[in-house]
Amino acid sequence: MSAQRSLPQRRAPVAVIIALAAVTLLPRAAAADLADLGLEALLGVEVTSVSRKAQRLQDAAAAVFVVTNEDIRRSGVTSIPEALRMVPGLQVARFSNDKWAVSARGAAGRFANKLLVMIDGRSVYSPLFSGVLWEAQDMLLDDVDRIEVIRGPGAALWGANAVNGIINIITKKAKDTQGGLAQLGAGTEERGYAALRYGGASGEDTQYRVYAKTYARDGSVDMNGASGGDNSRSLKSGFRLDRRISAGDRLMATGDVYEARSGEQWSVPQVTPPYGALTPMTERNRGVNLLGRYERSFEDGSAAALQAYIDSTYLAVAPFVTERRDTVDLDFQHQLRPGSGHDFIWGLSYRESRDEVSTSGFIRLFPDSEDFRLVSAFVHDDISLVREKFRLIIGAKIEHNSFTGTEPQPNVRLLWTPDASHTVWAAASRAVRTPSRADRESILDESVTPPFSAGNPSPLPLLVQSTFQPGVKRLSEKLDALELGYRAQFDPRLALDLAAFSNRYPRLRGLVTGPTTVQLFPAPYVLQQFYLDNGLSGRTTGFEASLDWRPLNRWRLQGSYSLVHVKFDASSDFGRNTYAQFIRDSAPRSQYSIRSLLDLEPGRQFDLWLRHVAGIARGDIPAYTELDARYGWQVRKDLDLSLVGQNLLHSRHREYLEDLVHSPLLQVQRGFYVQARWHF
Amino acid sequence: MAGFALGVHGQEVASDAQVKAAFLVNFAKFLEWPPEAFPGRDAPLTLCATGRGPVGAALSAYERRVVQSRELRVRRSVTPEDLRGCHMLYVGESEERQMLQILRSAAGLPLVTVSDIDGFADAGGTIGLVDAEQRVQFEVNIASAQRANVRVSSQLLRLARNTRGKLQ
Repeated sequence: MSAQRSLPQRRAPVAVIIALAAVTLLPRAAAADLADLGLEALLGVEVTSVSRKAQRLQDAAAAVFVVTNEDIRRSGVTSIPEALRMVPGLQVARFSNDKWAVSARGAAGRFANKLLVMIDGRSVYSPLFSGVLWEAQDMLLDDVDRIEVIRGPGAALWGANAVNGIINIITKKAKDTQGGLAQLGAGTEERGYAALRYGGASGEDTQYRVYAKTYARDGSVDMNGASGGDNSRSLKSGFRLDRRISAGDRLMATGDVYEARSGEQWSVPQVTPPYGALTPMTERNRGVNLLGRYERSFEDGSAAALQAYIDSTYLAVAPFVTERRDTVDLDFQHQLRPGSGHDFIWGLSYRESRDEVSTSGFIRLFPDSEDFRLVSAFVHDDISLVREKFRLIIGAKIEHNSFTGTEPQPNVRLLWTPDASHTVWAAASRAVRTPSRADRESILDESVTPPFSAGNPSPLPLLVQSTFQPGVKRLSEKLDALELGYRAQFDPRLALDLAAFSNRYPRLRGLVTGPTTVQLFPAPYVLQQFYLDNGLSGRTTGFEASLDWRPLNRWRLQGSYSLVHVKFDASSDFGRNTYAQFIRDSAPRSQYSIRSLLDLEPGRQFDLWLRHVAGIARGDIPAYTELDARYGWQVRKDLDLSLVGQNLLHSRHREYLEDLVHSPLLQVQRGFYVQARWHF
Repeated sequence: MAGFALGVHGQEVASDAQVKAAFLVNFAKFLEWPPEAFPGRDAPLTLCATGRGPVGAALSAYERRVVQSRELRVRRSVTPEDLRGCHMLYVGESEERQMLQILRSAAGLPLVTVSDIDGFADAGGTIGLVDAEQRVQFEVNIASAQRANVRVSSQLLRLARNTRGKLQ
């Protein structure tokens, strides 16, 4: 904590200064002249992506940010979490070459349990640790149409665990990926990847695509420069089918099958010497999923959608953890406009998730098998109070799950659009996070301190363990959030988005000091236990800004800045305070990102991306600034090449210390790769 | 700078809404409505817009401009019950789920429907706006225009990227 406090005060947010300068300098566009161009010339007019993006957002009474396919392509990223670094309000840290801690608005961690992540409507949030195993979520990035990120609670529409944010990854329709695509890349960190995709059609109304992708990624290095043992490989294949059955009926089906493997090193605590030997491990992920969605719109203006998916996953880090999980999810939504000015949606959903978990050694979860059921219903009414000026959105979701019972999650939002280019919104909401299996009945040996050492002067080794208290029920975590936002489209070339929030968490999962005992087996040791409970409470406040500016037709700048302040309520308990500090010291207080996308000449692009993340006290991570660069060359209409340099400013830097198990602190290295993309 | 900036490669850049509104005004130059669609020789040509998007606002900039010797009138936020008097109707992307209802209400009226909803022309709309490679293209459903008793000039069809139905 002290390390953070001693950091120099950051300058005023860069983005805001640029915004103010830009507003005064830019000429206003006189739209009416466009019509004089004539139809033929109009067909050639380039539409700024700045405003296209903003239009989709103009309507939302929430802090929304969209990463487009173009953003992904031109940033040179090779994975989804890497692309999320450009989103304000998200904390993205790479702690191993294939493993990421992605969180929103200050709740840091690899299993940042308050963030819901969906791919085409399928949740990839793991109910085991309540988080996302990003290493198992590789995608063919060319297929991603956009990533919509909603910071703040989205529980009323999306349900539990959409506490601090929702990441919604949406793939392109099959009609937008017709023909063939071959992609090849090779480099220093990105050792090699290859992807093949083919899209075809059957008649006018049915399109499909199939793809396969594989990659091999080099490992990172530890603090001594030695190999981190975290090489990774993945193979994934899948399809998407879109069919228009009639004017109002559409069907979509998509599915994937994948296998991924990544190395890591765990320091497994043990009460006999050497107390914590570094052991190389392999994490394996396998899975298969299938999703279908049927949408129908009726002539009375109402519409309905029915979606179903099955998802089967397997996770193993032998010999400590294996998990097999099968999930079935059904979702129905009905939208209607009962009277003028109302846009009413209601829905029902059912999820059943059955697992078989086996754990041993320092990590134990009970019971071995569990069947989790979730039933939920929501209503949502978007009311136009004053036509085109004021909208009121009220909604609530009621969930019943087999762990914690019934959880109501209401929200109310107000949107004011004084004119077509300015939007002010405010929201008050409550969201809930259902305890994961690890939050409920689990025992985790956190660490062993050898005898006669600095932290343990006693003659016996000290084992620190977090454990559940039999008979004490875990509660859901709650969030009461207040948000305020402002969006402006000053000009087709300039868009600004500001959001501020104050989140109150009245009963977070935490730890409280338990008994200290002397144990005799397998060798004598002191056992210090901490109990899992819901006694932690606190508040986070913060501010996020993003700016999209196109000073020239061929030059686009995008900046974002976020600031978050985490404060837990004072407690007299040692365990609670230690845990609170652990969480608080895991998130950077501020960060910014500036991207420059420049068309040098037709078919040649030069893109830069500068990122700064403030220091993190836990793991003693200093603040860092990094730069990525990309040169893109459209060789022929059907072939493009790009050369990408990542993390160019330092040969290596550290971002985050793994928080669940003891792993060595690893450093991300500078890397280069080349990519060829061929459409056929 | 005159109006909007001229690009380095000689291309113009404008917002999506501005471009779409300009398309609507240009379409009006290539369409011929039946005489009974207008109460009088000098009656205005009415462009209507549904939905919340900014296209309606961009369209308002063309209020009182003269096209085919008629002044343009712009009506925003029209409802499906309220289409009478409209000559062209822009259906906002936000209205996707109401598309069929709107098309049904438009049936039998001398009304050209235009939208950027995916598959609009296929679903029975007259002109579909299609986003392609940072530019806007359009497709025309001739049968829909014929049902509305509106004649589409061959110049317009020539520039369309796709046409449905045949010219009689």
